[in-house]
Amino acid sequence: MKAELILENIGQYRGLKKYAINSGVITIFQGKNSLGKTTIIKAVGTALSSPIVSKNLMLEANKFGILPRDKKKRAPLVNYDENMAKIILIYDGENIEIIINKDGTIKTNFNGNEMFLYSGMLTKNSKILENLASGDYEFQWIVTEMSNASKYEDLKSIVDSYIELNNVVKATLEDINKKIGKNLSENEDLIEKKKNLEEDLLKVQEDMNNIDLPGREVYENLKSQENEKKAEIKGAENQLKKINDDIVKFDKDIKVMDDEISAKDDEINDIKNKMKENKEEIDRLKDLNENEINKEIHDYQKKLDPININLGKVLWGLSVWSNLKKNKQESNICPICESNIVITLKKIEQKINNLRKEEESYENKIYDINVEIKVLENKLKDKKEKIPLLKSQIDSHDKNIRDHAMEKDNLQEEKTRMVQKGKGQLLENKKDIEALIENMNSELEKVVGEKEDYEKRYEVLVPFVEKEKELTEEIAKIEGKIEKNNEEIETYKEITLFEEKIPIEKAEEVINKLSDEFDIIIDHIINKINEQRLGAAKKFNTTIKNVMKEIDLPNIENIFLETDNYNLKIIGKGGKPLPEGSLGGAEKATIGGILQVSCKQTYLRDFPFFIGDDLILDFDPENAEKFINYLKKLAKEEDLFVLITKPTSDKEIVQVELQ
Amino acid sequence: MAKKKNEVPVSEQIIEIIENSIKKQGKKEDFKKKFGGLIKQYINEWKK
Repeated sequence: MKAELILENIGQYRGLKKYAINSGVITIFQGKNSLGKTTIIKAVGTALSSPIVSKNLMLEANKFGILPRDKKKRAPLVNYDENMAKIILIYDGENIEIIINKDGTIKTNFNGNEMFLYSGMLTKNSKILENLASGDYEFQWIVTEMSNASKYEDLKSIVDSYIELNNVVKATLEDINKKIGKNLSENEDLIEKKKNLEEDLLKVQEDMNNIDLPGREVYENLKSQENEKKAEIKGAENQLKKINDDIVKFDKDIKVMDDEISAKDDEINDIKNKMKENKEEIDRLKDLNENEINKEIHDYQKKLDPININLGKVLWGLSVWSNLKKNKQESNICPICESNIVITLKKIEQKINNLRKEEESYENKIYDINVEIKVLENKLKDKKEKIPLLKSQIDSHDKNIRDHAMEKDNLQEEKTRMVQKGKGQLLENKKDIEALIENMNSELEKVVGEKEDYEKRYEVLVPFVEKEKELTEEIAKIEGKIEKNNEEIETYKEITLFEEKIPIEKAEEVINKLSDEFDIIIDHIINKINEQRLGAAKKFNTTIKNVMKEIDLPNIENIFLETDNYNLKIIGKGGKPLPEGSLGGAEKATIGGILQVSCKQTYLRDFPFFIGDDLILDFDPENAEKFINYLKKLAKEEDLFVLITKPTSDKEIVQVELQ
Repeated sequence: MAKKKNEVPVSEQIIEIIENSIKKQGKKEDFKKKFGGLIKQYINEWKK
């Protein structure tokens, strides 16, 4: 397979950079430090792994220098003098085009695999290598992230949040039940007390009735009038309370309507702004002069002609010199101008390199001109196609404004009608009831006054009346307490669970049923997570075993993940486990390389890329050679694109292939 | 005979949604919506 990598405004390079890459071999980007070798690797990693959505992988991307640390920082891959960068990667029918804005937002036409950052990139920042370097042998994250276990974990976190809320509501219900129980038992005591007081009152009243008094009938009549008036006043006060509640509710309804009216105004203003923008865009498009644009396009096209001619000459030259190189043909005659000069293989190589640079320079110029032409053609296209579209949008906005205005008028009318009829009527009723209560209170005052006159005359009654008053007041107090307790119980008649109101008497049953169902769901998810991790670990171990057969390490017999805790186990020759501290940096780096390539081959085998940054620098030479030989074999057998960087003294990046 | 929807335990239905979500690589938000909807539906049924 062949791949084409085009980078625009990436890293330290402004403008375009193009690389042709072959699969089945190792492609090395070599050169001295700070030339941008790693940037090429990062760009390929970005293209293959985007869009990156999981939080963990965003952190990885940040470590690799692909995404900024936070939104305030610049995207590290975008050239500092530019606002955006572009990566194009074409291979095997895929045509990946990715745009990175300086704020770190990425737009891609490719459904990449973000797991590539864990598996396909071997750098010092790779999570696997970092684990090993820090002596952390806990690798459960690999079998979780690289299998569906992580997805089950995501869903489990949602179910867990529901379980937590269900438990909170269960605890609230227990508190409520305690309060209700306390109120009910208090009421039982109060009712008993009230019963005793009523018996005492009855006795006092009977004793009073047995006393012979002149004009007693009138006095009794006044007493019953007093009771009647008091009952009537209580009834009227209840009515007044209800009217006041209705007024509060009414005001709330009006407030809701006011909010709706104001929201309509906002919507109308938004649409008006959009209309204004559309009109301004139409004016801008109308102002574009088609003749001038066509002339500019023509001028650019004219500039292309000499460049294309020169490019043709360069390509012809390249084919001639490449033939000489292919046939290893040294001569004394220039194949182009036929003059007498000594042509060695070294000179042929230099000539080809120079011509390739010229080719790249011409292609860059052609690309830039074509971009300018495309921009101008788009302007013409916009003028032709966008104006009718904008006009139809304006018509649609206009209709929306009229619709919203009509809805707003309807709301306004409804509000006016409610205020005039509804509230007016309520206020009138309130006034009537208040007047009635005032009237009844003055009548009651009169009756009580007359009654008290009688009581003053009946001195013998005074202690009875006082006792009666005392008992009546005490009974009223107890009734008030009972009523308050009942009102409090009434407020607990419902409980809210997941936005659903449940009658309090049903709540416990519902919460317990939910709890049982959640247990079954969680058991299922945990079993699945374990199953997924185990399957992923077994596959990983098989691949590591196969890779280890190819790269025979002198001191290590076997490497695998333990299937009970997913810790990494390294077995030395002779079958004894090697403790973490017994491994040197070079051995750890080699083991990291083996694990990284095994991870890629286990979980992302269909992805034909494996990339590494100065990957063998930290290996010891013998292991480095074995590892490179294995990568060569793997690249060939699996038709992989293997890209690595290598520090050399070259002053420019040189692309070399290892067969 | 197939069971009516409300006779199937909610856990059974949710497990089916979980497995579909994993199989089709569904979004977390979509699962949350379906899961929440089903829980509310059952609470409504149980509270009667």
